[in-house]
Amino acid sequence: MIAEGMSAVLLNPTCIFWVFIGTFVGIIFGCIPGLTATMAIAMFLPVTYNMASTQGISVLTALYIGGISGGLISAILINIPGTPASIATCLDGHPLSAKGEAGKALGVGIVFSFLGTMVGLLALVLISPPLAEIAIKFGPYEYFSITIFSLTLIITLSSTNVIKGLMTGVLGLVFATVGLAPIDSVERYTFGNPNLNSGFDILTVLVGVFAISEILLAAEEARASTGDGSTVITDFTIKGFGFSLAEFRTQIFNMFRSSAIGIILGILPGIGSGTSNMLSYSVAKSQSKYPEKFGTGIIDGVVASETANNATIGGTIIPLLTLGIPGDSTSALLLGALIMKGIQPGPLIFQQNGQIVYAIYAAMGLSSLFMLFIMFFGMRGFVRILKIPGYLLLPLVFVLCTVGAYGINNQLFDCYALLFFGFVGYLLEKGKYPMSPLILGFVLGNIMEMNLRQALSYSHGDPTPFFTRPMSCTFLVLAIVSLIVNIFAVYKSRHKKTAQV
Amino acid sequence: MAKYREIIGGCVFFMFAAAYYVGALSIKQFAGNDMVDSQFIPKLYGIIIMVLSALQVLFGIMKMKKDEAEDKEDDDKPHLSVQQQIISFLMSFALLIIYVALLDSVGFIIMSTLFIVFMTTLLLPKEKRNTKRVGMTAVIAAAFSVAVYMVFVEGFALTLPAGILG
Repeated sequence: MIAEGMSAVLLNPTCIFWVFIGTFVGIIFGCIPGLTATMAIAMFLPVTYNMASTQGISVLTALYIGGISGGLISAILINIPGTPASIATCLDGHPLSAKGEAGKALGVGIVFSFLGTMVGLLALVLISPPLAEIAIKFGPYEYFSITIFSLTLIITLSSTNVIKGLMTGVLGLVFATVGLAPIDSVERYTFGNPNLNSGFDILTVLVGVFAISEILLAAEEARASTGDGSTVITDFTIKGFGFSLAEFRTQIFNMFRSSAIGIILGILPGIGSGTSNMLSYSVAKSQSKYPEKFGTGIIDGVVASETANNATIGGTIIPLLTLGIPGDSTSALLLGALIMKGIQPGPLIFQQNGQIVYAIYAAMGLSSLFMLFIMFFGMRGFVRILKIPGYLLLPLVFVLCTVGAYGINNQLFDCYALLFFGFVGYLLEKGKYPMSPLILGFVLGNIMEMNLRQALSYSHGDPTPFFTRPMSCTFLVLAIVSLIVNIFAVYKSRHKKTAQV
Repeated sequence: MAKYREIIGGCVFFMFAAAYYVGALSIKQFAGNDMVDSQFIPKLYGIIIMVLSALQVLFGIMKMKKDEAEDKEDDDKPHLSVQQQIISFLMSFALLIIYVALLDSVGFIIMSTLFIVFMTTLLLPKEKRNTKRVGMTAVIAAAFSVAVYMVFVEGFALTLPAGILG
């Protein structure tokens, strides 16, 4: 199966071509502020509907890598992160380019994005099989406890306002209850519409909440805009990789630490590159011998942010493959794509669909090589793309999202669902509610309820096995610990803020 | 507006959760005395959201009082008037709905072209709105719609509504 999966990607010219296209388009989406890796994948889904599953998942993985990597270009050159994954790259990347060292900043960003992806891939290859071995023994008790643990993570870590995070998280759970109930298949909230029997498709929820809501928000702001005041730095020189070997050596420890942070945050459900780059940056700063230099334009900051966000990619795929729980919202789309192909991610995937796993590995390696190559040679071109106005891009993206929604079941119902979730996303954005808890709640809702009810029917309604089975108990304890730690952290940061005022 | 954000948001959530809870009561039940049946989880979610949104409103009121005492301006940047924002939002949302509603009968190519032209015009800042730019957009929109249709239908064997052209 290893050979089958690897060769399906590496020995197949069409597949190599598509991985190249995926990486390329991903970078474009990554570098344009307002377009994200999630949107790029959403847009490309219909392309993969009729592809072989290995090829389809390879394209999407390539888009993911390109999308996370491309953000550094706009972060460094115009001080606007192309994606949330590059927010911390601005902090030192832009000062560097303002000093006339844009070439160096870009070179460092690109090389360490590549290295971060590779370390993440290594972690994925090494951690997934043993984790799947353990997960294969999990029953409904363990799965229920894991989902509970996952829910506490996303909800508390994704925002500073715990109540609002919890509210959107539960809202996601609520949307997951639409359709036939697990176990007894009773209709719930279908309002007699047979289209709702199987519930909302994850793709319509994700694309609606993250992409359509963006378009609505842009429309609202459009008349206010008086052209953006940002200046694009277009003339820069770069020799070789833009930095010296001595400079590289000083960053090796930083690279491994940032990768570790990226991978761990990736594995934790619901938390992705948007968080890992900032955490990695602040850890690099606090552990540095010269923290005062951070923010003035040193490569340490760029290395920390760009290594971590790319390492997160490998991390998010680990729980996706081994447990069927995506590590962040972008990998939730990969989950949707896999399910559409009839592949259920989970511990059995290594035996039943091993070729998919190895295709993902191969695509990640290949795509990060392409990324290195495309970004180095295409840098100047991508800068020009930044000048394409958003008012033209957003309608085009919407049309492609509609194609994707329509293609799910060849019916307009999914397009309406897309609009509905776009509206929900818009309202949440207006009320300053965090969005990612909604997606995780939605993804975990059915897994949680099904396993809860299955577990209780095994034990004839007795909940004690949740606490007496060691793994299940461990995750419940972890859930409580994470809840306490996070609430404490929020309390502390708020205390600090009021002290500062 | 920003001042009341928490209170409005909490109220909307509360009403939604209440309706959701009431909806849960009419979910069919099979005879059985399991505590966790198909009604249990929805009821639980409904109650959790109602409690959380009540808390949000409460904290919102407390914060508002505090802000009033400190006389603090909470708004981020000067924006358009709320009225204009609502009009822009309604227009673009209406456009999205019309696009989807007519997609089947009129067809993908025509509807997409029209949609892109109208949406782009709507998104264009006022000072840039002129016939030349709209004309350019129309050309791009038509080329894009035809290309997408060809690529997906011919290249990827996907069905898209052909409508009156089909």
